Amino acid sequence: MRDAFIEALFSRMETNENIFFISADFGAPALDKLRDKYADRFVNVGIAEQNLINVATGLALEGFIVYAYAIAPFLSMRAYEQIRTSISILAQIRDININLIGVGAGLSYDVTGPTHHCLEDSCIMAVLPNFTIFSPSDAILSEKFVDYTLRKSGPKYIRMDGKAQPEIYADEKQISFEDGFTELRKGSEVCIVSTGYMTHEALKVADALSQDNISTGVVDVYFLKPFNEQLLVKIFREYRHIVTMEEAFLNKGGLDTIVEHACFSNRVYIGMTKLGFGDKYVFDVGNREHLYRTNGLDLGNMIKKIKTDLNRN
Amino acid sequence: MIIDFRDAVFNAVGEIMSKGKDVLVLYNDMGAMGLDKIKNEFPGRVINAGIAEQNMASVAAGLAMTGKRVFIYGIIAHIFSRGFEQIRNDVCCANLPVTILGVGSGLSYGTDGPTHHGVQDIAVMRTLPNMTIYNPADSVSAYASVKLADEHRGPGYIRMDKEQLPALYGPDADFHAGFNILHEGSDIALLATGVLVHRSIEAARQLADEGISVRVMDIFRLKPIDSNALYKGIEDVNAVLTVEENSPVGGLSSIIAELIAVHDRKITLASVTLNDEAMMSAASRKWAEARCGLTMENIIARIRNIAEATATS
Amino acid sequence: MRINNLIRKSAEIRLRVLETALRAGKGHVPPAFSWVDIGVSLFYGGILQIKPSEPRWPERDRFILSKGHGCLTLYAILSDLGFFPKNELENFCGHGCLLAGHPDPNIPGVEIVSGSLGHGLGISAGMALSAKIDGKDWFVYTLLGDGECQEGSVWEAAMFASHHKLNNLVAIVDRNRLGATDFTENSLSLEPFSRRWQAFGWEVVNKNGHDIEQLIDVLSKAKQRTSAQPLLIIADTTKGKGVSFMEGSPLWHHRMPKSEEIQAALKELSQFKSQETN
Repeated sequence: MRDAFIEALFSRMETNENIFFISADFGAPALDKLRDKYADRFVNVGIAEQNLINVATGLALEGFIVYAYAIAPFLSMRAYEQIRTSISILAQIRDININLIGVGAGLSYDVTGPTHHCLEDSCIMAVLPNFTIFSPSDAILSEKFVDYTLRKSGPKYIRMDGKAQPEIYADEKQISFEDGFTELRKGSEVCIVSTGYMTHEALKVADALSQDNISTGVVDVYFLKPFNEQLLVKIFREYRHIVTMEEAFLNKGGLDTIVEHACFSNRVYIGMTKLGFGDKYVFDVGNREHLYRTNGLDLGNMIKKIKTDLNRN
Repeated sequence: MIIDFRDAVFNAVGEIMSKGKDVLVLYNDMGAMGLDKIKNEFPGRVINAGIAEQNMASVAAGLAMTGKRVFIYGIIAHIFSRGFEQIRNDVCCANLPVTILGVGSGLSYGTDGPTHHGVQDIAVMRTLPNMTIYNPADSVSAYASVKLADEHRGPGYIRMDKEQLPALYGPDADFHAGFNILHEGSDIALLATGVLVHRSIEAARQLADEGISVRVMDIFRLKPIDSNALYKGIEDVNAVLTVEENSPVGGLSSIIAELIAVHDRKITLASVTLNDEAMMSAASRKWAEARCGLTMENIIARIRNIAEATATS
Repeated sequence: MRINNLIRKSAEIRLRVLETALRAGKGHVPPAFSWVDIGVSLFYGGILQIKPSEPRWPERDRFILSKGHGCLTLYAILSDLGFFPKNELENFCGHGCLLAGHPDPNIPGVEIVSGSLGHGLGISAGMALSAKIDGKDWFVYTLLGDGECQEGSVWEAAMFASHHKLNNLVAIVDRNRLGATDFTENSLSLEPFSRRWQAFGWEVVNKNGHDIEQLIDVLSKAKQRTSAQPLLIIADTTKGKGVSFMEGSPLWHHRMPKSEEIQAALKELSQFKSQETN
């Protein structure tokens, strides 16, 4: 995802002199050539996230389209006040095109412990005014987002997975940035709403449920903010149960909360199952598969929970 | 009797300090009369950490790791955001007895500009596992919050308003449930937190004269929520309205949406919050309330509309 | 402007600052007073190339008030120069009015949102870097508080500026030796202050922060420097300068004068009116 994004950005830099890339000492193979070819539009600020944000702001105020790049938990949390004051608040008055690229959303960096986990960024970034939050599930989406960032000014936060993920949007016509999501599968009983890495899991869950004759749809939300709420709610009305799936904390303002607000505001009263991570730091050591299992998010458990909730209704 | 929140809080802190030599207070060069008092009373145990919030949080963690019980104090807008990663990793991951005392909830510092507004902190602090959050509406519950946080022995966060607000509770009030019903009613539940609790009670009184029975609940512990008890407090009403001087997502409105969603109930849920924008200019409370609909008139009007709508449905 | 006139202007600005705060019943007056002479040097001493009628003139020198709580001085200066109408001062902190307790770029002449400390230097560095890249001649001047230098983010920015040879960046520290509640040396000592900045790669100059002539001398030469290093001017100042009982005291951060104090302060600040103008 990250490499697709940087490659696309690299190619745009040839004709767009305003693009500036700034990193907090975080690399990528695709970044090496960007750094070499456009040395005057690349800066490594070192391991200094607060300064990353402030310098990015200064550059953006002077007309550069800035891409600030770091590991997602450090980018979003170490420099939170800077993001709040120098970007979110400032953007209300001054036109700044700043794109925060956070790599390692959710449990991408599984074995490296809770300091490198990022289960809260969808919430803490969405609460900031003037921010667009992009949460892609595959590399095609993240690549397409580059032109969006060039077209649309203002602050944006992109939470990318740290590991390569299978392609979902081979048919690019399925993508709608205006709506902010795509109904990848259509069903009639259960509607799974997911984002980022979890969309891949959602597709597996949908397969399993369908095999048990439970007609399941999947909506992949890639714009956590803003998105077409009315259209999403319209989709919900075609189902009798919603399942939210995210590699993030539950009940903390993430996708589940966003969906709940949409439902209540529009008087959509249907059953809901929320799948994600509970209110604790993930200290277990293990890869994603292991962490999912120890947190009750392996396929078997998820299916069980959904079926239990379905039967309750 | 009207007592400043800070005085009440520092009175409680002082009492805790007098019981044990291992209790310390750190502050980021922010003043308060109550703080000066305990500084004089306990020389060497109230430490000015300088204008350095990140370091203050880390130092507090270090002290707590060696057996101290630590309180840290500053303005909400800075203290929660500037040292957020440190609060998360150093304090909360390790589940340490550090209580953050933040002054300036909501628009307490309205005219000081958005860098001083405490309007996203609830959403963000809620993402922290192990964190207990108190948002007292009067000085009595503010005092009690400190004692409760001390009992809890883990990370805590107490928000203090700057306004002088009348006491809502007597000295024998019980705060263990995390919420209290302050005005009985049966049609609609009006859930408020912090400064708006006072307005909510007044609104309920006025509406009683119109025959609309409103139950007012002061939600002063925002995390953790006693889901069962809180749900019991609203399961018999037709509609719930939440009011808070906070961002639209992540605060009380989300807490209640999250709570109700799992119960699969068809219930009208509405919220009045601040807008999703940075409040520029000299955003005094009065001005902001008019702009965002947090005035008495608007709250009453909303409840009237809801009552009408639920009566006809 | 001749020095005597500049001194008079300083006195005028101080008076306006106090009047503005008194009318609103609030404001950080002593922190505003400590940098008035620095502000007058910059804005009236021929240093900042700016256009009040075109606040975002692309070739302007940028001025960043990193110590946002010192904004009363900035408001007084900007309104005096015509960036916005003087009568806005009457509505300082008024409901929904332009001038809040900390500045934001809705106010003509203000570049960033400040109020939280420690951000301005990094943003300034970003701007200065931009100028270098684009081959621009304009400079960035940023005013920091010394208490503000306790924030770690200031030092990240300091390292960055010297590393990138941003010699088009001039930082001025209002070294009044006071934080919000106590002397800086009592809470988190900054000394040896000059040596620290030098160690971070800056050229450091120490000046009397109330000597307009000295300040203009060093500021006016900034653009002709051949050094590759960013420039730091440590301006030795007195918090509350201008009103004797406010000077150099931890008590006076955002405290407002009351009753007799008001009259005494106004009297001290109005003394310039009876002096001859040159």
